[in-house]
Amino acid sequence: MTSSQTENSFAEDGGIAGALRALPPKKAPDGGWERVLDRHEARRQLESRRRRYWGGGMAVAASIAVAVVGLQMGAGFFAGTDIDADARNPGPEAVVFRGEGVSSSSRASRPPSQIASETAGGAAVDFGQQLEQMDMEALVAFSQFQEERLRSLPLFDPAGPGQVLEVGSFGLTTELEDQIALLDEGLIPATLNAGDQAVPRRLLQERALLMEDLFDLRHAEAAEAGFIYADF
Amino acid sequence: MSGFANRTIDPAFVRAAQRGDMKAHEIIYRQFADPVYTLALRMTGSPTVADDILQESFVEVLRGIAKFRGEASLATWIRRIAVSRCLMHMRAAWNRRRLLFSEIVGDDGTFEIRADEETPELAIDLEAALDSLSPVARAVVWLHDVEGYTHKEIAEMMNRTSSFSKSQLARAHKRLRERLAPAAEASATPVRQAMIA
Repeated sequence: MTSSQTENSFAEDGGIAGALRALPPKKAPDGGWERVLDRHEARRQLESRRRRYWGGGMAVAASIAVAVVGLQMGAGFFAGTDIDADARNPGPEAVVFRGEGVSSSSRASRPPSQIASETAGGAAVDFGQQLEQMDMEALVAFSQFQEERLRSLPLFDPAGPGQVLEVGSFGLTTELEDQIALLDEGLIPATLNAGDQAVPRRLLQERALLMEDLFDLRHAEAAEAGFIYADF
Repeated sequence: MSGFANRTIDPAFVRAAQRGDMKAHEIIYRQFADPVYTLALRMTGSPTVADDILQESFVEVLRGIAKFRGEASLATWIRRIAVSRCLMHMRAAWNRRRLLFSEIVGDDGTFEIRADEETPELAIDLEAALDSLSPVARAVVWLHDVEGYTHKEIAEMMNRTSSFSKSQLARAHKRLRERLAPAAEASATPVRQAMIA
């Protein structure tokens, strides 16, 4: 818009709002429709994968990483937990824990629930530092606690019917889910046989951070939807 | 303006799109791509981000048009999706600390995000003046002054209060006037003098 056009716009509308409304529209970049179609297809495939991976919207598949880690760490680690035989080569939903009790949690330096309660509500605890101090056993136990806690939330799909206009955290949630799925399906299993446990341990710590963020977002979504009280 | 108000579309295309007719979807895209891009560009100030929001918005249209019930016009519906996408982008940016800005917490718990200072010579141009605003202020100004949203609606979309929207708008107007003032004083025309009055 030229200065004279701006001048005229101000004169006609008598203010900034009028001048802004008079700004000319911009032309969208060429080739946009083809890119929309590409993105739509990529999103469709990603969501199909996510549905398969995350089951009913909760962290069903989160047990995969835990199971794999448990298997690698030797028999007896998951005392009281029955793991399907095909867990050694897991598909997205190949692993099912049949036992609810996981004795490994008792071996963690502190109960996972206590760690979580310390990290919730802005307590003066450095969550990352706590993860640094956890050994593999404690990390696995904490992962399982995180999964259970996520499952306990009411299912809420921000992209579901009637929610298309919601200005929410859908993008962040799905991004977190994708990152966790990537860790579970690829990175963590791929590093377990490397001999050096420092890498999978680091990945599990990263996973714990992502799961914590995911829980916070899903909790906020559920609270916003009125499914639960935002009591912490 | 974004140009939504000037765009209409034959309801037959909407119904066809709802049945999954991709040609109808393409027609809708061609009709509304420029307004969506303009809105996104004005709200974010970045052509790259605006292009991304344009695509995201129409992916949303593709996914959600079957649920469009026609209670508002298609233009209104698409505009709302685009606005939502813009705000989601801003929110993600806040969360990830991607933007370089400072927060100033006010007495009422609201905050203003101020962009870095830019070169004074840009103040002569209204578009540049708009770009000089913080992301939040720019969004509020555009939504209120151009798209016609109320403070209450803006507050709901941004998860803020109406007073937050009002104060952002007032500060933005003040800033725009300050930005445009040197040019107006230089030209010394009655019109420019009036616009900063």
